[in-house]
Amino acid sequence: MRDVTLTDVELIGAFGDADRTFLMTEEAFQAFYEQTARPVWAYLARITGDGRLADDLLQEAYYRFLRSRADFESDDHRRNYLFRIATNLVRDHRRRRGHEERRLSDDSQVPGMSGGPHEGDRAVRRLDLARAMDQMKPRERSLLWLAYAQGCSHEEIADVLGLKKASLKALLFRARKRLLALLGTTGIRGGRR
Amino acid sequence: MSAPECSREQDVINAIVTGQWPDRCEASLAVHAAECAVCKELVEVTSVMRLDRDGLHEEMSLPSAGQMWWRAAIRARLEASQRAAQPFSWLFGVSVACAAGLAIAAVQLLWSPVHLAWGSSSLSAWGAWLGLGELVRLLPTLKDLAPLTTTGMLVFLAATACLLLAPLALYFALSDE
Repeated sequence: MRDVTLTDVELIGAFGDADRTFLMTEEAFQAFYEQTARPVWAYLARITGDGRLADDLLQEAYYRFLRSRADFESDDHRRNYLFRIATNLVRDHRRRRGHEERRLSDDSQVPGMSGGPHEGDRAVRRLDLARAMDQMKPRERSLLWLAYAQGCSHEEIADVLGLKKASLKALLFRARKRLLALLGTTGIRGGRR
Repeated sequence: MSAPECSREQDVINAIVTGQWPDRCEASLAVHAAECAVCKELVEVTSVMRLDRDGLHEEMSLPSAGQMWWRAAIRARLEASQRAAQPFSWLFGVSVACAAGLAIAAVQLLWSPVHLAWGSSSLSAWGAWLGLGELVRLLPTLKDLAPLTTTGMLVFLAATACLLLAPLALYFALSDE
C-alpha cells in the first residue's frame, strides 16, 4: 500500500498548504495565539488538574480551531469559541477515561506550587485552591474559572459551556458556596489571609 | 437555595480582574464590599482565583506560535494524505476479497475430479467416519459441473483476470497523482 509518511519536500509544502487549509493566516494566528494561549492553558490546567494533559489539549484545541470554518463576529467571539473547543476536549477526555477523576496530590503536575520564602503564603493559597477545585464537579470548576479567574460575563460563560444564561446565576452561586466551604476546610478561610 | 444578588457584583469582579482592587478602585466600592455579604464572598473567591491564574501565567512554558502553526500544518498535511490514501485501502480490500472468493471457487472446481477419482464410496466412508455424510453427498461431482468444462472455464479465467487485475491496474494508474 501507499506510504503516507511525509517527505522533507512535502513537509516544506505543508506550510504553503496551511495557508489554503486554514482560514487564518500565520500572522493572524500568531497574534491570536499570543493573546489567548496563556488563559486557555491556565483554564485547561486548572479544570483537568494536570499540566501535561493541558499541554496536549492546548495543541489539539488550536488545531481544531484552525481547521474550523466558523465565522467570527469579533475577537471576543473568536476567543470564546476557542474556550468552547477546550471545554469540549476536556469533556471528551473525561468520557474516554470513563469518568475516572484524577486527583491532585502534593506533587501535582500543575506548576505554581513552588516558590521562595516570599512566595510561601501565595503558594499555599494556590495549593489550597487546587485541592478544593479538584474536589468540585467539572462544570463547577469551569464556571468558577471563567467567571472569577477569566472575568467572563454571563453571556460568554453560557456560550462557552453551552448553558442557559438564566440558570447561570444560581449555578455560580452554588459553585461559589461550595468552593468557599472547601477552602474553609483546606485553610484559606481559617486565618491564612 | 435562591441566589442572593447585589447590584455591584460585576463592579467588584471587574475591579479585581483589571487589577484595580483594592487601592485603585472607587473608594465607595471598597466600602460597599466590606459591608455586603455577597460582595465579600466575591472578593474572597475572585482574589484567590486571580492569584492562581496569575501564578499559572507566570510559570507556564508554552510552545511558540510558530511551533504551534508548524505542527498544525504538518498534521493537516498528514491527514490530507491519509484521506487521499483511503480509496486505495478500499481497493486493496476489495481485491483481497475477490481473490479469496475466486480461490474458494477454484478449490470447489478442482474438488470435483478429486471427488470422481477417489470414488464416491470411499469418500462417503471418510465422510461418514468424520460425521460429514450428508455434506459429502451434497458436494458437486464432475458431471454436475460439465457445462463449465470448456466455455465456463474460459469465462471463469477471464473473470479471475479482470477481478484481480482491474483493481491493481487502477491502483497503479492513480498512485502517481
